[in-house]
Amino acid sequence: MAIAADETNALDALRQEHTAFLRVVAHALRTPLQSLQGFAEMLEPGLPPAQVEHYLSFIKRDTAHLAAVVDDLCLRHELDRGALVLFPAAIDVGTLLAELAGSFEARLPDCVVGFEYADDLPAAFADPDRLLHILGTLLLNAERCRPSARGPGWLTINARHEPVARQVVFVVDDDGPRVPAEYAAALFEPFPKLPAALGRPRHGIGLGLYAAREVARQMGGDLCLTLGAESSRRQFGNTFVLHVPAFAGQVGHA
Amino acid sequence: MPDVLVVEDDFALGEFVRRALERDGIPFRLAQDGGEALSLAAERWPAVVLLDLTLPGTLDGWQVWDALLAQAGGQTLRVILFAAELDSHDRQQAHRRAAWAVLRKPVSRVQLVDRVRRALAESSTHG
Repeated sequence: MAIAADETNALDALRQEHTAFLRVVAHALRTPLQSLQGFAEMLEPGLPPAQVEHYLSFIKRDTAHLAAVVDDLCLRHELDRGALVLFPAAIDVGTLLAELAGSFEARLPDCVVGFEYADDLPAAFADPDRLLHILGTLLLNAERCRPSARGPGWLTINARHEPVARQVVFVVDDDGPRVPAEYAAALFEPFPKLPAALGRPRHGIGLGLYAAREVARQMGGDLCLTLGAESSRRQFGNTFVLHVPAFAGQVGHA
Repeated sequence: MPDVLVVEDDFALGEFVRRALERDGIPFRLAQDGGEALSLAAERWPAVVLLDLTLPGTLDGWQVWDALLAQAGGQTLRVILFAAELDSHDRQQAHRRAAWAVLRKPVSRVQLVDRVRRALAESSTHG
């Protein structure tokens, strides 16, 4: 009887988890869908070009948010099944960051994104698509969590070499609400329960950082939130640090 | 002049509602969280409240709704629920609070404006 009761409780817990998951996914999909439908309907003939551009910027941004939600769901599924396949390659960091800048210009219209790296930085050795996804997750998360009332935001990605560890390190600084130290670990769990003051990512489902760190680890690196002295003096903002292996060989040129 | 209090934290959706109501000449005020919504309602009671459920800060949509009910003091509260996640339990909650209408995102601009207009028309007839 005790076993039956345990099974019933476990089943109830699973049902509740399933319901909560569906609510989160529904919210994450329906909110950008409303934006897409609403602004698409308002693109009527005769609108001034500036207005058309304004509406299109929402459509582009929320299309990216929807794509990110679907990516996160698929990635979680692959991680759960232990089926994630990586295609590591030598990656020129400058080219990678230029590609990231290009793809995020339209997605983050309210943020200034700065990219910094030394010219002599070695190549990173990682799956290029997955690396772009991780950096994109950090940018989108930062944008989603910051209060829009605070005006334009800023984000920086600084890439540097750590020769002793043979790693390329990407330091991502944002100006969003500070994550208290006690939540630094929970942030990387699936569906983290975070204080309301941190803001709720507008269209996220709570899988982005979890999946990003898992993928970083499977590539031989790691992803963490720094809680150093410099970081804790600031009123706003967080610093995420992504480590990936540096490429040990010679990069060929076509 | 009777107006609509829009409680919506999402910047894009706030902009969509703003443009949709402006286009039809419907007066409104926009609050981005529960605290701001309660302050605006205290300044001048809105004829209609267009309320999102998921809000930042300490008050969610249901708590804002309950606080507005407590604040009403005999004035009519017409709430149009405008939410992304609405299951049977939510609908039951909305029904219990006598929601004027329930809109599940996404809705068309025409549908949104139509519901708001009808709620405003009722307010001008019944107060």
